[in-house]
Amino acid sequence: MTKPILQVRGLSRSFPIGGGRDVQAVQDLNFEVPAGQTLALVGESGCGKTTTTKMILRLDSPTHGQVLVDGQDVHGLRGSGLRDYRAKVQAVFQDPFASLSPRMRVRDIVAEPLEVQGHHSRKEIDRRVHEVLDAVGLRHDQARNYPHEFSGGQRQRIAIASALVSRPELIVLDEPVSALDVSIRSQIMNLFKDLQEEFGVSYLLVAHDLATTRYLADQVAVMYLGRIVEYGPSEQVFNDPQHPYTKALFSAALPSHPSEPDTEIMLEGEIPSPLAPPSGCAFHPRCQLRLGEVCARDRPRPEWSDTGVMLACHRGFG
Amino acid sequence: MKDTFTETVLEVRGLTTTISGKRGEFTAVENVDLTLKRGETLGLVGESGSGKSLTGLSLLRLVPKPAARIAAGSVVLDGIDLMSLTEDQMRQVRGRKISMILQDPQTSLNPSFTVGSQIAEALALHTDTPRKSLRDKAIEMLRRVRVAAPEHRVDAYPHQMSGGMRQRAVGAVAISCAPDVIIADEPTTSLDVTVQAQYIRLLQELQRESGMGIIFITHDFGIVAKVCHRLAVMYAGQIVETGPVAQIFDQPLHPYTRALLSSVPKLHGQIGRLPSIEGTPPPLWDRPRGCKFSPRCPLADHRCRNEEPPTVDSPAPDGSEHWARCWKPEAI
Repeated sequence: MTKPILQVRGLSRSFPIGGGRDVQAVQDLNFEVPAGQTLALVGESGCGKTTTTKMILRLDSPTHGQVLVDGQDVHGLRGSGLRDYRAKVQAVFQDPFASLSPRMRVRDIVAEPLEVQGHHSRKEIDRRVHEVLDAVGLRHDQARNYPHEFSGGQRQRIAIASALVSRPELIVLDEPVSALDVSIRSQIMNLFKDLQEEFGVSYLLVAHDLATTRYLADQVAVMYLGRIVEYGPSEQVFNDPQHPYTKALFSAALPSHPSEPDTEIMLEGEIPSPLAPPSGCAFHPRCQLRLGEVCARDRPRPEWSDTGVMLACHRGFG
Repeated sequence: MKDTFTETVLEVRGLTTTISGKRGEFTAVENVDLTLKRGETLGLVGESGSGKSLTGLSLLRLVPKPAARIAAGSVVLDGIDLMSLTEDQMRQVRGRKISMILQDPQTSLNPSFTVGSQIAEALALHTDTPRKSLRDKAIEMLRRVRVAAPEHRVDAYPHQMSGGMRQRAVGAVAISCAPDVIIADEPTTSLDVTVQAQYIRLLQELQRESGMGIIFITHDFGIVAKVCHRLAVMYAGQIVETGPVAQIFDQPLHPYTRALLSSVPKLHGQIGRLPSIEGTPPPLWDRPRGCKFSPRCPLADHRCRNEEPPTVDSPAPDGSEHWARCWKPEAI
């Protein structure tokens, strides 16, 4: 295994909600992203995906635990270390209509990460901007235009160019194709793969569409109510999901052909509020494979299989 | 799905809706033909700007005025041409015989009224439910859309409910008067995967109980594969292909349908490079001549780029309608 770019260790975040109480948004997360690979965080709204990416992007601080990029704790960085981190870690967000400043030309949007570093000549910046515009499939003359002159797919290319220009090691992709049209999605997904091959960049992907995840990710971590319940190589997890929640989630994914058999596992109810998380295993009230009292009483401890899959379930590997 | 449906409940012919603005008047929905049978679900699939939502709104005569105008066509619901009705008569039809579920339950419920009072409003307007029993009826509707503890939820405000629950409540308003037809415009787009699955199952159960016809507007072929019996694909304001779902998935006639289907990532099988469609859909105010898809079509030639393509029939083995608007369907 190659050296990890990103390591997340025991990461937790709680928010005070008044009355001296806290709500646990994420708890004790452990995962890593190897260089040149893609890890996907999968789960439904409220599972803590966004809180996690915010802490990795240093937009929020953990209550416990560490985020290490190239072995350095990003929440302890100051001065030049912090500047280096900002060049190394970039992000592409869901909505290219909201994430690009409407008052800036494409050239300035794309160049901004270099401008803030403050030590590149104008000529160097223009060269790098042209280089990344080529990489994402935009023409050099389009650098003079404003975002509103572009379609959604092209705007996402601009956002990707801007994320690439500082030659990052890790890009956080937060629902990067879900706002795009079907015929455009595959263009952008192919682009992510090409760029990974060309520049060796790693991705941390957050996506709710499972087929998109399977297509882009080497590793998958499935989250439920702030914790990782299953984590391992993508093919392993998709072909042989172990956790009852992973099974139910994957079975609820829409079929790719009308003749596909309906094997859906219907879950009871909705995700409980993180304000009042269930005892023991947080999934037990909805679990179709519940063992009994143990599930309501004890939190399952993570176990590892020989194939490198982590599972947090009292049933163990089956 | 092998269900056969016989009785036509909604027949749309030549529906054309135009929009006027600073770019002048242009056609956003062009010459749309649709047939919906009782108990059937028809998927209306297209990308943003293809005209699918405006088609849905046109069926209810709810196009945004004065910008949009239904310029031509007939919409026959249970033997009545909705286009010939007065505005007052149309108001009687909406909700009672045909109703709509919108994408965002956040905005289709009024935040200042309880969910129960909004269901009761629909019932009071369109049925002769006695005032006294409106509340009980609202509770019953919430129970039918599987909202837990409906006696309590009836007094809840929309913000007190989860997204999935709110969308059920919207569904309760839509089905409260047992309409013949429901137009569902991307009703599950804002829902999580497992909640979406529950909601789709609910719609299917309600349809089985009441025999209503559903037009499901979506951009997601997964939804089509799961719930639709027949499918109509829209591109740049036109229906470019329509037919039984299984037939279209297996033997699409139109290059656009074929390209869309193959560009969707799959949950099973090989992970290769995804085929993609170059370029973007044209803006409706600047549609190309000839076949609207021709600038992006790998098969297009001079004729495709200049002449409106003909309708080509290729009926399914059971004789049901399957056609596409294309010069080169045989090349596929």
